Amino acid sequence: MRAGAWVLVRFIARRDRGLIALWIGVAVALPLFNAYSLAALLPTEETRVAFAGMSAGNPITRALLGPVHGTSIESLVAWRSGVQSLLITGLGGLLFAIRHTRAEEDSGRGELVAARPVGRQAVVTAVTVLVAVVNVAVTALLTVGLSLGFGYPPGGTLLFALTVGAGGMAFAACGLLAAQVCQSAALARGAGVGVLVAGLVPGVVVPESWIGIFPAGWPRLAQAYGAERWWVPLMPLAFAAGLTVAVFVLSSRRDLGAGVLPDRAGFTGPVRGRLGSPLALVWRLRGGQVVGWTVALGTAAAGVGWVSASFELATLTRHTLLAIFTYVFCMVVACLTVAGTLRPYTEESRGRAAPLLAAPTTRARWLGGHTALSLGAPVAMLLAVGLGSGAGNALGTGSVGPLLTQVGAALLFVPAAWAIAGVTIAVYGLRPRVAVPVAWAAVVVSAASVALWEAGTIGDTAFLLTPFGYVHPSISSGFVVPAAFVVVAAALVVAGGAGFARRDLLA
Amino acid sequence: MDAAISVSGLVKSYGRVRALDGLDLRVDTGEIHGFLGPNGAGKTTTLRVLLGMLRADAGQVRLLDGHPWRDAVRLHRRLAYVPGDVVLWEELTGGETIDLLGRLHGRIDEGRRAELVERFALDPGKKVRGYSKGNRQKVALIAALAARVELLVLDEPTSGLDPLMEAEFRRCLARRRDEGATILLSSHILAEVEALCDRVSIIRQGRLVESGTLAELRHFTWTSVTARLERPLDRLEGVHDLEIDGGTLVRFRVDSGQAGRALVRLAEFGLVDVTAQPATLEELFMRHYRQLPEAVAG
Ligand SMILES: Nc1ncnc2c1ncn2[C@@H]1O[C@H](COP(=O)(O)OP(=O)(O)OP(=O)(O)O)[C@@H](O)[C@H]1O
Ligand SMILES: [Mg+2]
Repeated sequence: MRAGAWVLVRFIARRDRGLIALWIGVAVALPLFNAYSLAALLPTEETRVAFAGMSAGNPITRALLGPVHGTSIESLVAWRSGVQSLLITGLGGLLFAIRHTRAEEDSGRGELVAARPVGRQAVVTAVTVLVAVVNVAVTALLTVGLSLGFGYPPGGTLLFALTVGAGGMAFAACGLLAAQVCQSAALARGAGVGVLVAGLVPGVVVPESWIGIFPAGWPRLAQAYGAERWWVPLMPLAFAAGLTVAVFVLSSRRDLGAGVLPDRAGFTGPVRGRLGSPLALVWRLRGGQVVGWTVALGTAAAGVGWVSASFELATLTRHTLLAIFTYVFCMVVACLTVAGTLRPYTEESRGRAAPLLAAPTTRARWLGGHTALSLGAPVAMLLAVGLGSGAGNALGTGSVGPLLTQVGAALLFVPAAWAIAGVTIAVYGLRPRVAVPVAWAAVVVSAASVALWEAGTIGDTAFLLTPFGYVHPSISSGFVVPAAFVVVAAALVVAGGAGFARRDLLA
Repeated sequence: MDAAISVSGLVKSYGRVRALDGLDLRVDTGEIHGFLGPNGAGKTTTLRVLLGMLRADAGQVRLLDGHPWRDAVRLHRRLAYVPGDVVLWEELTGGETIDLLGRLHGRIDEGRRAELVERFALDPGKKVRGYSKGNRQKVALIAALAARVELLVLDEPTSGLDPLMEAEFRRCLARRRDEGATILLSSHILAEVEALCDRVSIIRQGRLVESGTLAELRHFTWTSVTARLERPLDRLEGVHDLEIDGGTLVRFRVDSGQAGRALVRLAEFGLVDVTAQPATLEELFMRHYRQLPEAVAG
């Protein structure tokens, strides 16, 4: 059943050597960077005690990262890096797994491989092997880097690194399972990232004693440099093993190209007349997703608004809880904005734009249709988040006040979302081949700067230059910054449009 | 002769779409078997079942000496496949792609591979990104034809090839057959089928409507006759589409097996010249593609 796996391992390793190096590099660099910057920031025991006290008092940090277990520099670094590292190894493994399984099947290349004497589980096996190699490398390099480079105790360092590596395995297994179950790579990525976020954020709502069953709790439970519970890395490993067995069972039973969850079926009847204009076609292509996500976000936000109305925890009031969640929703909308705005790239590179542009549709109208939806979609989603959370909260508290505040808070993110869409459109128009990595890198850098700002590595001014800056719950910035983002977004869209009008089509 | 492929009563549905509806198919060892049918007839689906990529809902399928789903790996060592839609890794070169597919297969004849690259005039050093459609198709063809196998399964393998390459492809296939390989060839190009295939099977809406050699298929059709006579003719029974030009030049179609009676009648009017043509393949297939399966079978 696994014949051919070894050839695939070597092929995938070669094909993705750059991505694998990046994945390992970022996963190793982040804790090392934290170790370096926290050491510079907190050189003495007094400063560390003060920092720990301050962090314990900050409800957002506390909810996301858990309590601080010690005031040694290594405990603080482990505390600070745990969830971040899981996010990186998890996201890397998840996307890597889907890229080489479902995405290959989607493209039709899976058929080319499956027709060879290659076992039904060869691809899954090859991916699992490579993910394991990557995570072992991350674990080893982290251990060596932190213990030799910074002189941290080797035992605790190994435990910390093992927790991170094992967590990466668990999320990669989630990705493999999503790829088996979902009938398209896009659906699988959505489901996988959803699981990742759900696994790492529940610190906000789940009480401390239960957090251990979520991935977010693994680093807290392990307490590297503290109680040092060595059995903790076994949890993610057992979880990964269980999921992998399920993956093997599914992959040996299902048809190539089929899933358990079908993609939404298209219309079978004649195409309606409305498809005549480019905007109508864009709506037909992307409208369903926009509506689906808007409804999903609105519903989730309503739930959060309603729950948070009756929420009171020592340091965490309902206001802060609602603010954190609104912020998280904004980040989700930012990701969806990038994904949606990249759609014209997909259309063009798959050769689906050329027939339209050869017909009497001008480039400006075609890209204009896509851009209109790319800018409109975040407005609709944010409005849904605001209305949902506000209405839910109003229902729970019995006053209508939150409704307006929440709508305002959510819509405040619109300029930032537009700026992100603008960056995407600009790279797409000017340098289409790097559009996907650059657009996503912009979001990742913005998200990383939140962590850097919270850690005090970058200052307020630098933070305000990033899209997630001015909407942060602990920042109030006035209206100059959002207005500036609108101007920047407009300039970027114009630049992208001008670039697109001049360059060659990709396919 | 023993069958390389035998399928009976094969059913496969995609959700509510019944793509194969009790299909029968038999391919004998050592023949080139044409697999024809209108778009959406179920050819690709059949080939995917044969390759163990799809699991049959019902029916018996035997491929070489095994079960296509259960013995997939063992059988795949003995066959090569060219899919209907060839999609390759954009960042690899053509040569690297052939290498990869060859290593996955494990039974590549390096000499034959080099020869094929030359024959098909492929530049193996170029990235797939930069290949035209025909060149991508060549990559998949070379990877399949270079394998030492006893069965080739080809799904519209010449789409995108220019006439020169098409001719080259026919030569390669004929040679493989002479070496003893069995070939199942799904195609819409009738000239190719006529030039290569020993037998053909025509399917429609997931069912077999006709199978046999081209001569046998023609047997069920007609002959077009043009004749010049000494004396004018006004009527002729038992023929179709009769045209009489100035009384002495006649054209008509006559069902296979019925030509004798018509010619005897023509002889009575002083037959000067006659040309008779069997139905062209186009005419033959048009008939099968258009008609309902029941009508053809009956
Ligand atoms: N993945 C799928 N999901 C749903 N229906 C499918 C799928 N693949 C094929 N079909 C349907 O099954 C039927 C047979 O399709 P198939 O691709 O086997 O036809 P084909 O004979 O190869 O046609 P062509 O000559 O156009 O290649 C068609 O009605 C098609 O719409
Ligand atoms: Mg087909």
